[in-house]
Amino acid sequence: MRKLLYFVLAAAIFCSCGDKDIDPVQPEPDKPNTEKPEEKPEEKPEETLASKITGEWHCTVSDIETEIYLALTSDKTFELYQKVGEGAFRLYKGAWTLDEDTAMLTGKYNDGNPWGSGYAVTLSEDRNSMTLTPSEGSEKQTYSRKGIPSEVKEGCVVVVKSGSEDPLL
Amino acid sequence: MKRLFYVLAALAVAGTGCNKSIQEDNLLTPLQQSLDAKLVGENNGEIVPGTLLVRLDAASVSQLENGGYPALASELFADVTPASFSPAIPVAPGNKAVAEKYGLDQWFIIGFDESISPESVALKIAQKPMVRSIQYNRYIQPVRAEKAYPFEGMPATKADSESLLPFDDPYNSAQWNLVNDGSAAADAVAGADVGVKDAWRLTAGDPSVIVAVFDCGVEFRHEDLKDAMWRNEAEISGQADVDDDGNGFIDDKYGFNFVNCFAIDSDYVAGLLDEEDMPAVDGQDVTSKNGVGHGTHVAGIIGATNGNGRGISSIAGGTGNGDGVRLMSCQIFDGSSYTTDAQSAAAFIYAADNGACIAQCSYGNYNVITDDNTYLNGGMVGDVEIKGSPLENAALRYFLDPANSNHESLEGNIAVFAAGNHSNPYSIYPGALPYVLSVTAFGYDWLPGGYTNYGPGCNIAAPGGEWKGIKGEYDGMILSTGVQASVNGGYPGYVTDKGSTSKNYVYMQGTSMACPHVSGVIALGISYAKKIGKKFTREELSSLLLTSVNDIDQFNKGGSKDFNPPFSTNQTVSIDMDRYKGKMGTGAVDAWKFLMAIEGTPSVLVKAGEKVRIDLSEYCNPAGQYTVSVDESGKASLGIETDPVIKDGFLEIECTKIGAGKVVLSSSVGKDPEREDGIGCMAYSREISIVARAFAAENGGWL
Repeated sequence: MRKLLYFVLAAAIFCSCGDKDIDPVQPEPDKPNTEKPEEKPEEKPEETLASKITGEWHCTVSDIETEIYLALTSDKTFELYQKVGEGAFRLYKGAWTLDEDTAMLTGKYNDGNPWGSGYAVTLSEDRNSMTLTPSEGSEKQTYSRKGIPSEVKEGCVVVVKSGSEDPLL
Repeated sequence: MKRLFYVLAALAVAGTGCNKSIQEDNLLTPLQQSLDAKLVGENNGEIVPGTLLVRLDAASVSQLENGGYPALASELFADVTPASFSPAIPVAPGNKAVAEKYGLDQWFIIGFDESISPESVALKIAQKPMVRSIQYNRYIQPVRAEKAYPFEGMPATKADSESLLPFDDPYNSAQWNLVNDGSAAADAVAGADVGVKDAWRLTAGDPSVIVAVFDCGVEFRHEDLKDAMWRNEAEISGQADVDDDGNGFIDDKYGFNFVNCFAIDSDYVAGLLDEEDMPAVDGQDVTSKNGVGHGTHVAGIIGATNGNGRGISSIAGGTGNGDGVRLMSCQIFDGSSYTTDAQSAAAFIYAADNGACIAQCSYGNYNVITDDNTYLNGGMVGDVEIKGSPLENAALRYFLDPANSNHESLEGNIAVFAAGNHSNPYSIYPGALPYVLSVTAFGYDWLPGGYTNYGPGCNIAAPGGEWKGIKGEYDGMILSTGVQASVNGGYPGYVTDKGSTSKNYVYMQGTSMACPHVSGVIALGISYAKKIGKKFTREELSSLLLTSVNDIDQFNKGGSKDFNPPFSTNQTVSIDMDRYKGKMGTGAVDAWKFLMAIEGTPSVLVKAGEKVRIDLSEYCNPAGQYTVSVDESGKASLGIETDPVIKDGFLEIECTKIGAGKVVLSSSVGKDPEREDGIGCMAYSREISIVARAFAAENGGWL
């Protein structure tokens, strides 16, 4: 009988400890918790290339008077503001994907057209420079991390007639 | 009522030694020969009695400027007794050099007793060596739709809340010409409009753009126009009967009446509107005594104030924040009076000297004239004698001259004319001239209006409306500001509350209404060019306009269509639609495309090594005829080995190398294909920049 009591007590203590691990006792509202929280090493998820290239980028190609702003968002959508030659920035939207194994960036515009090429992504050590090397040709595009100016966003033209979300003026 | 004698020096010559009266006999052959050599046009009874326009040589003009009038008059008027002699048109002192360029300083108007025939005076004057040429002072007619029809509130099929436009102007859902959703009538076609809704995202006008309305007077007190009028502040705040700003015109507060030489002010308008015999509203003759119907309608299409909660919306009327274009009233028609060459010429000079950069001209010579020379210098067209108009033309060129530019974004000024309402296969003049625009008209179904002129001389099409609308009523016409006098409560009846009948908005149709659509779109374009810091020459801007069009012929399936002619509501005529194909100008004006062209067309990204097809609809009417050219450097850069061609509205081009270059599409409009010496053409072109890459997305995206 005594053995049984010891067993029940031990079991009760064990369960109590278990509960404590799962749902630590909260301090009562009028009694500040002075206990030092248990320090455990934070397990950071492994950072992917996709997360590293998320952000806003800028690229210029001087010989054809081209300026590009590219926003890659964490929800895998993009906004591409491009000005090739004359005119205001044109806005294209769509979705992107990155193959983590091959570092190949691909995308599709919202109108259903795929990008003209896939791109091998190279990111600088400080993550402030990104090079896109197209699978076809030798036209490397080097982007620097830079926020998209508000004047570009506000002054861009969506080349779509009625129904565009652009506000009047 | 104030009467202004703008003539600078009406010099009575009685007592100057010229006392020999004109004799109408003894027409000697040598004199006739002198006259034939110097006279422009003939007198077939449509000229102003008691006046003659004469151009003197430069030496005589110099002599006059140096006080040598008595000596000159003694020779010039040795055989005649004129009542007056004065410069034909006043020119601002600062623009004297440009006036001299076109010889405007050399034109004088001789006045004499109306009982004396102009021919006899011309005969005497022609033999004088200092006389370079003589012109009869002919009458000019407006391109009138004749009738205005009352707006009785919103059509039964349209609720106010159905407006597709962003402004709160209560009647704008009846303005299919601005945005056409296809509900205006059973046969209306969505999109058959001026394409302005999207353009308003970029600009709705700018007060620095002044549009001179050459027409009947504009009712400057109209609730939807009063804030859009050009204001001559010096005169408005100045003294009555005084030329406060020293521009040669007294009390020209909002413009000027060149027919009767009145200032356009409230006294003038109110005085005329108080007449007891005002015409009926329904079917009123808008050129009757009030003289303010046609011009008021035209002005409203261009610049009636947007977003003011009243009346209609307009193409360049701003956003309700005082930011629309401004309207200058250059009144050249007044009641039953036609204008004359001297008066229209004076109006062009006034517009140029007082800040207008667009001349909106819904008028012209109704005669069928089939070549520029006959218009300018007179001649015969069939059995009809045409009187030449060198003075008006010189004044028009003065207005257009880059030295008289009136806007920072435009080198020169630009003039827009109506093509005419007589269903003739030619534009009327002056619109047919190769340096001005002539506008044809289409209805809510993209089809040409049954009244519109077409063919040589015509440059571009715009909404002009047509009679047959819902239930055969007026809704297919163009709704704009108007003047409805002395009916149901009298004038002014500014009743514009929703649900009430408005007395000041009317329907009209015609190329007179199409014309201000193009003027309004140009006004928008200049406003946008200013906004983005660009500047164009008149020719460049015209090229961009003429290529910023929609293919109107694709909707014309041929066959016949019934129309109610504008001059009669009691009969229907059947018109063969095939005759209009390819003859309405370059296409239907599109404000959105025009602003995109002004902004600058981005380069087209193509894939090198493949034959690609570029849709031309963004750059021009794809159904047009173009010459395609690529300069040598472009060919070399892009590796073009086979000349690009146009097929089925696409530019087919193969670039063998990665590079960049420009393709130019060139064309002309208005030329009479059957007459080398016929109506001159307006050349235009559009440039497309090509960038060839190793890859390219189908939609032109960079990635």
